[in-house]
Amino acid sequence: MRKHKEKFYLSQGNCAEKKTVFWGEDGSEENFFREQSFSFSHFLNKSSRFFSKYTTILQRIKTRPLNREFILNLWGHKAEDCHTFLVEDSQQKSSILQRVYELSAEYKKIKIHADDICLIIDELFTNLVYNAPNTGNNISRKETPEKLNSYLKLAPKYSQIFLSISENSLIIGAEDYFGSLSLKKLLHKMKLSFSGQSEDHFSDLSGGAGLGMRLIYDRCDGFILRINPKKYGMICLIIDITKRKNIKKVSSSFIVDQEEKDNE
Amino acid sequence: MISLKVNKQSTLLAINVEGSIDEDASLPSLDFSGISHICFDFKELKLINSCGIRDWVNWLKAFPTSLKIEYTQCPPILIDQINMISGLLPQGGIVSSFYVPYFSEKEDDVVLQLFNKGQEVPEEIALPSGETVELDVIPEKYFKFLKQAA
Repeated sequence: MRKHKEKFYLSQGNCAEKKTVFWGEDGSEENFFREQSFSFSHFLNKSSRFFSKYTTILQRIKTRPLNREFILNLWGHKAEDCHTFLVEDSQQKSSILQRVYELSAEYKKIKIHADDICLIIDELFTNLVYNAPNTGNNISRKETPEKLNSYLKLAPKYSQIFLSISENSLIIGAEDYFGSLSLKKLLHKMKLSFSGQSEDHFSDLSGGAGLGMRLIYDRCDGFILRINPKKYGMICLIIDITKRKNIKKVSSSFIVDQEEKDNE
Repeated sequence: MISLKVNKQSTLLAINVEGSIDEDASLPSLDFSGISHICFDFKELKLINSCGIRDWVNWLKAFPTSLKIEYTQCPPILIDQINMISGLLPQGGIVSSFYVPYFSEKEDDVVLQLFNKGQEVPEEIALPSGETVELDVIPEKYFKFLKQAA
């Protein structure tokens, strides 16, 4: 078992029973997630195709933290084929997106997903540049590129975006070494988005309005978070490419592996 | 990077939106004197992200409320967001034309077809090549904006 106190949550909507199932380490954790979670009504008509992988994920979380290699392996991807982009410069988004469009053209199976992939990567990049280093720095969107770059260097390692493509799925992820992501805040903002209240917060320029995460969530089939407060954050999105993009939107799972206590 | 090509024609302000609406988009102050109608053409829109949506909605809030706002040639990337964020198409605004994705089995790709508001959107259409392609959206979800704009 992992030595430190960790929280982990798995959720999956069940169409037939109209309820959301949680697995947690203990009852209090379960209740925490239930209270903090956004409306799960969007889960209710979704049945996850990834259910078979949940047991494996749960076993893993009990003993070791989730990481990129484990997720790639679980979905049958080869780590060596994973495309990784180091986020060293706040101005490199266009070059990353250009490369992603090239990859989309190379792999015919993901061509029809190109716009979604680029939007997800765009949102992840924006989070890594403006939100991840925001550990009391109050980073404004109007900061100069030089200033933004100086924030990127504050973590022990540069943040990364990764993209992996297999016959059946796409895995897109982002890792940062700031560990500033707060599950509580994230869920609160997503709740605003699902309840149509994001617009009320558009004038607030500090942090996002939850819209970015909502845009990401809507485009993926699996949404996995690992949070190690003040140390590390990972978001990993799974997209099923075996079915047509606009017809397949039936499921989305939300998995969180959180260590120690939440950031406030 | 966004590019707005503004063309004033009598009481109409026609604006072609090209590129990406994102955190780098600089949305200008517009001169509305003598203008009663503003028409945005989104044919060349490549991407709109969450920062862009937020800036766009805030930008529109500064427009005179009497202004007629029209969106034309809206690609799916914009329609998806209009369906999710009510303020992206301001109250009273209309989407006069929009692209609808159809799936080509032969090409294993999506073909976009332009429709005008009020025009029937068939489940299947025949391409000039003779291939029949199938509607690639969930109608209740994709055409939600038509109800909003009604």
